[in-house]
Amino acid sequence: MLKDITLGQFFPGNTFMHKLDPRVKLVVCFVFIIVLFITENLAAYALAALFIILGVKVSKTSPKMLLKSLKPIMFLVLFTSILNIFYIEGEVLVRFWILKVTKEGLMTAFYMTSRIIMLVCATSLLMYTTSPISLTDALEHLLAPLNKVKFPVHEFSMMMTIAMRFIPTLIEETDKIMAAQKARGADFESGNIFARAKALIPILVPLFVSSFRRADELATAMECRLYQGGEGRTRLNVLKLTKYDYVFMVFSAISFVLMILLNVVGI
Amino acid sequence: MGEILKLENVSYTYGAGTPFEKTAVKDINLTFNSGDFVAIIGHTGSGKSTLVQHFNALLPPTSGTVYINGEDINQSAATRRAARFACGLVFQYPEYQLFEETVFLDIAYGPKNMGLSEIEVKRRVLAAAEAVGIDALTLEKSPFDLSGGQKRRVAIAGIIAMEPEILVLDEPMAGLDPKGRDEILDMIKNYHDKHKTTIILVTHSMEDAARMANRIVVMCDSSVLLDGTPGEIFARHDLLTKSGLDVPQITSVLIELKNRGYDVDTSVYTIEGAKEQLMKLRGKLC
Ligand SMILES: Nc1ncnc2c1ncn2[C@@H]1O[C@H](COP(=O)(O)OP(=O)(O)OP(=O)(O)O)[C@@H](O)[C@H]1O
Ligand SMILES: [Mg+2]
Repeated sequence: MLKDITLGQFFPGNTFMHKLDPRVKLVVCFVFIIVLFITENLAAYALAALFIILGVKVSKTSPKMLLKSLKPIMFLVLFTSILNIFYIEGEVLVRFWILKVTKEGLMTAFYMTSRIIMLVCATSLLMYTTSPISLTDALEHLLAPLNKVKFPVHEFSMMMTIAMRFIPTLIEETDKIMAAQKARGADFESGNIFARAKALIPILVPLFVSSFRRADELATAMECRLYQGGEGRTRLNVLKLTKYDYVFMVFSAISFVLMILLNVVGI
Repeated sequence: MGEILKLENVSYTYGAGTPFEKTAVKDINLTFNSGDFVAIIGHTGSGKSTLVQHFNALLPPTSGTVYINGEDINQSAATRRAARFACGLVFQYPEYQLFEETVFLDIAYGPKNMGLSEIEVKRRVLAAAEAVGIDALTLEKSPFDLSGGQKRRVAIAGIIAMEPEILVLDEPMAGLDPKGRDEILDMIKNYHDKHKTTIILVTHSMEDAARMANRIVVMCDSSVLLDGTPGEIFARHDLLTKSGLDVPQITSVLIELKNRGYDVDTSVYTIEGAKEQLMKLRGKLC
């Protein structure tokens, strides 16, 4: 059941999308989201949708997985669109009881919904095709200028890397401990909220104990290998832009400029 | 002796429908009789741990049915719960599941979940502690202050205290030194002799399987490769070596003798049996 969490799950592959430099993907994803938020135009959104569909096809991501990542935000989407439909003033289309549906409301709801859905799709696509390690690597590169203002960029990204690295381990461990306690008759499903909270103790205690042990062991192992922070450290995998990256950047730039143009012209 | 646990065409697939799909158990048919001591053996990743988690309904089979005493255990939450108590499962590295303040309380966790009276819980905890060799002093300690081997015993006691009809142990000797291994094995053997509980022992070691069990199930690549008495199993040493498993050392000595043209029985797996064979051979040769 815990395995069903898909956000941030990486599916290894060898497609165009997988080969791209994580920095490029991260920046493109970021710019894409900004463009989504500054445009409000049907043609521009159609183009954006096309951009995502193309990404899904090229990366060979199964659309089912993408839909799964949309599930948790469905409620949010429904809620905002319903609010928008009924509460925005404008040209009234339908009226019943005290509620009225306006054209402006419908349009705003449509844009909001598409925006959120495409935002989640784009970030999920990024997560599915980029390993967490290279993602934090990219983040470290992109944040490097912050070093100037004494922000510990390397330490920050190392923390992120370690945290991400241990998420699957922790999930696996939780599953295992839960199974072991269930074998001893633990019951996590019935009882009132207090009984359920109490039922978690047999899981949380072993989990904390092993997490601390693991953290301690990791720190020792890092010290044994003379880890001492970011200064003067070289990398195993040096990030380098390839022709794929240039193709992707040019293609994305054209798409984004087109979207903004469409918005300005207002077709 | 009647049959107590039965698996019919059981298959299990991890992560069905994702790119990580993996069938860990494929079309298993097995029947275990009451009072048996069965060893399940197989190479790493052959699906042993996955298989045993079907015995107490921790994993619902992707297809197929599991019966305990003739009843399908995956019918409802109630039958699943009953299966947990009928079939006690000691996990691989069980010491990581300890959580209570004292050893006593930790062993009592299972029996308490069964809804037993306080007196009965206490009786069972003391009996289980005695069975695994934990003294009264240790019962009052924190489980986190014990050595690895002691923790392992406490974890096993936690299952034994539920007094299940079937006791399943998933590699209870993994990661222990030879002395620790022998102690745990002897403890299990004694428990079986005394209580006649059906025991299913998962192990990597042919030696241990040969010494302890009256029946061996060999798993290979998610399926059952061989199933029979130790003698029958070790007679098929060709198949065993092909699937990445060893025969006991003493059997391999006899096999080598046979390969060199001496007339010996290669299904022997105990020192005693081998001695007999060698004496017979000496009689013939001299
Ligand atoms: N929680 C899980 N999710 C996905 N795959 C799993 C999971 N647990 C086990 N597997 C896979 O199922 C297969 C069988 O695993 P299992 O743990 O049953 O093997 P095993 O025979 O117990 O091995 P070992 O002797 O190492 O304990 C392995 O290939 C493993 O990668
Ligand atoms: Mg195992």
